[in-house]
Amino acid sequence: MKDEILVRQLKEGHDEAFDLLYEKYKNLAIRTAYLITGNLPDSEDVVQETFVKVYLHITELKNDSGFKPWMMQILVRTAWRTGKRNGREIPDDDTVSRMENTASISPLGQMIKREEAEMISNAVRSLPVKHRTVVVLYYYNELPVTEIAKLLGCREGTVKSRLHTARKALKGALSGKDIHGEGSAEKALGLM
Amino acid sequence: MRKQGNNSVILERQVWMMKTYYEDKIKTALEMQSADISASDALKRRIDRELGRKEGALPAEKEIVMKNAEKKKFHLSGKRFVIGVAAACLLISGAAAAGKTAGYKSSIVLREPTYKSFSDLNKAEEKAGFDVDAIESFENGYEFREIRVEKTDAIDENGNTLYSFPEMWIDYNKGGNHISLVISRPPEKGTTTKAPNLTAQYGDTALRYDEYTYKFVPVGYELTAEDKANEQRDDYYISVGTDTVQMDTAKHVIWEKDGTHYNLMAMGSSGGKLTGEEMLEMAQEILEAN
Repeated sequence: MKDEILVRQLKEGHDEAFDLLYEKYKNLAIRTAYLITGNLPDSEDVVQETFVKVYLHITELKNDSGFKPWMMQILVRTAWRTGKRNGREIPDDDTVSRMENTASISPLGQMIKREEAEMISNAVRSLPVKHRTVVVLYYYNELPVTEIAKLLGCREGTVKSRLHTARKALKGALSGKDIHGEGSAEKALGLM
Repeated sequence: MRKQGNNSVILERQVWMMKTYYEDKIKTALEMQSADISASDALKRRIDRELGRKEGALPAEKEIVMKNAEKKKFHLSGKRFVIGVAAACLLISGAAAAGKTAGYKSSIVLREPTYKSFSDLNKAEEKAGFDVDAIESFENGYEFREIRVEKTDAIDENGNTLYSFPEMWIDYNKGGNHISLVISRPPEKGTTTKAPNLTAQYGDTALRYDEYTYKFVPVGYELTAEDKANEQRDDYYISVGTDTVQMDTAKHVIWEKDGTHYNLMAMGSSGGKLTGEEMLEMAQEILEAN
């Protein structure tokens, strides 16, 4: 069923519509939150808070067909606040261990790919949260720059600039330059 | 000139290929990093609980805890209701045995603040109107997640509210597992016939550990002969309101200190594999620290 119809139904008080919207977006939401916060407990808190806000404030959504960007905007802002509240600008090692768990059953080629992915993930994780968010929204959620700018409430130029600096750091990681150790991305970004 | 032009095209193509190469790598890395993450059923329950919804119940209909589901089903005909685990400790400890109280109905006050920092415990105490013993983390790794103050109504057999009292919920997490410390000062006291599964003593405080079996059933579910027999047991509850029939175990450590009722609660499905001994130790950690 289309988001527009579900949003209208939820506004009219049909609770089932909320369950359907949750089912549709729950995994996208938790994976995005996980990529931004870097750990599962925080991601669950973010998704919980996001959907509670969705339920309580659905009537404030003016454009019924704009549910996804509206929900994503709530999610990103909640994730930023959660990171700040928990003092976790740089997430813990949960992501790495998670990848290691899945790598154990892979053949050699897959393992190399995973190692490479781990290098990039480390670099992404060590990016400042606003750069990391832009990378996640652009590469993972495949949102265009214009939409990311709207979602984050900033100018397109800011998004492009964050993407550019983030790419530079990530390329550095892939080229094997200072790929290990915390703060590699900050170094590449000239922030350290 | 022509050669220069060709070089420029080749260079552009190389730049484009490199860009695509890196961008594909980044996308793949992010996909791999998050591929095995999915939203758990427990997360949906947490959302519904915070919204005062329960497995399809309307927000206005909160969790109702009663003994003898079959009997109450007729009293509450026309309403969907849930016999839950939230206030079960009050029945377990026998609080409902006195007076006309037949059950308890918990409701989360919407738009009320949820305290996300343990340092806000004093604000929650102020809201609840009583001081509590609590700790931020347990030695076995469970860590503070949030505090909520809810309102619990004592109801009679017809669902009428007899009186209300505040209940404080302190939730703890360890990985994907959740436990809660539920604290209240219920006005009534009673007795229970159920023998505890385990007991412990800390100073003057007696602790008891109980396990209860819950059968969650959809509205309209017809109780079988076995259900009816089970329902007579004092360690068995039937909870109405889920979409499908599900079984779960509720584990409680209960104690009372200075007139305040404590219930450290874990569900078998979401609380991790905590044993009664471990939960008693956790309760003693709370008592030791205060």
